[in-house]
Amino acid sequence: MRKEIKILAAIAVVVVIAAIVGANYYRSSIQSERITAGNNTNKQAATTANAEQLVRPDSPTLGAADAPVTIVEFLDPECESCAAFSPIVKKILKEYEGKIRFVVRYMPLHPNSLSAATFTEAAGEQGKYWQAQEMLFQKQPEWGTKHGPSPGAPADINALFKKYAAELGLDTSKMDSAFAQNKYAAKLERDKKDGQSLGVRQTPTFFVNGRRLARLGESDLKALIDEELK
Amino acid sequence: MNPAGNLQENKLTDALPYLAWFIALIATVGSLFFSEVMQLPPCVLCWYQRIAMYPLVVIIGVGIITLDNRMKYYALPLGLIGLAISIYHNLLYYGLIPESITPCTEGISCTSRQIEWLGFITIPLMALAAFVGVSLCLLFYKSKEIEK
Repeated sequence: MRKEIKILAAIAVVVVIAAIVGANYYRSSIQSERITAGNNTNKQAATTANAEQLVRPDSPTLGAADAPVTIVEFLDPECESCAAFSPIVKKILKEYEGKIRFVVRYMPLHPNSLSAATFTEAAGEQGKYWQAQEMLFQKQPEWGTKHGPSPGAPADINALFKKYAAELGLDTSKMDSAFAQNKYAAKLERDKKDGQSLGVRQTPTFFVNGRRLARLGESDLKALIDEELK
Repeated sequence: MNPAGNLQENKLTDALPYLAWFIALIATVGSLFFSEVMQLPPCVLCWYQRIAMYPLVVIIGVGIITLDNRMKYYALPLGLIGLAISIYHNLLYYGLIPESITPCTEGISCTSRQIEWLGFITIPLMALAAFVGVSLCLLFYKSKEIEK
C-alpha cells in the first residue's frame, strides 16, 4: 500500500473508532439520567422535567400500578415507526408479563395525529383502547398522510374513523360527539408539552423507569428493562 | 531561498491536503454525530453546508491518493460555497441579520441554539471554522504543477 493511502486510512480508522466510542458513551450517559419525582435530572430543562410530566394519571395504562418497571412510550398513531415497533412492544409486554406497567403518551406530530388520538381515546372510554390502537397501526397506510405526490389522506378523516369505530363495535354516537367537541384537545396538548419538556424529539420515544431509551431497538429496550429489573 | 528552507516549506505544503481532508472528515463525522447520535435536528442551512462539506472528504481523499495536482481546483469551489453559506448562517445565528428574512421554514429554526460549549462554541461556529480551515489549506496548498 502506498504511503498516502496508509495515512488516510489510519486517520479515518481513528476518527471512526472515536465516533463509535463517543456514540456509545453518549447513549449510555443519556440512559443513565433518570427522571424522578421532584429530582431534576435533565440539565437543560432543570426546572421542568420531572416524574409528573412522565406519567399522568389519565394516560392509557396496561399492567399493575406497582410493577417494578414502568415503560412510558411517547407515540403518534400516525407515525410509521410507531406502527412498525408496536408488535415488538406487545411481544416484550407479554414476555415480561407482571413486571411491567406500560403507559402511552401522545406526541402528535402529523396532520391526522390529533384525529387519530381522539379516536383511540374515545375508544378507550368504551374500554377498547388497545384494540383501537392496534387497528390504527394496522390500517395506517389507509388513513395516514402519504408522503410525496399522491392523492393524500381521505378528504374526511373523521368519517373514516367513524367507520373504524363501527367495525370495532363502538358506540358511534359517542365517537361523533368526541370528534364534534374535540374532546381530548387539552389532554393531547398537555401530552405534547410534557414530551417537549422531557426532550422528546421523535416518536416513538421510550422511558424505562424514567430513563430514556437512547437507541430504538428491541434488544436495546430489553437491555434497559433487564437493567431495571436487576 | 536556501535549499533547507525550501524543503521545509515543501513539507508543510505537502501536509496541507491532509489537514484539509482531516478537517472535512471531522466535520462530516461530527455533524452526523450531532444529528444521528445526539438527535439534534439539522436546520435547512445546515443541510446546505453538509452538501458542500461531505463531498470534500471524498474529493480531497481521492486527490491525495491519486496524487492529482488539480484536486485543489475541484475542492476549493465546494469549500468556498460552504463558507459563504456558513457565513450567512452565522450572521443569522448571532442576530446580525434579522431572522425575518431567513429561508428556514421546515423543521427547526436556523437560529435555535442547540449546543453552546464553553459558552461560545456553537454548531454554526464549528461549521464556519471547518470551512475556513479547509479553504485556507487548499488556498495555501501550491500544487506541484504550478511550481514547475
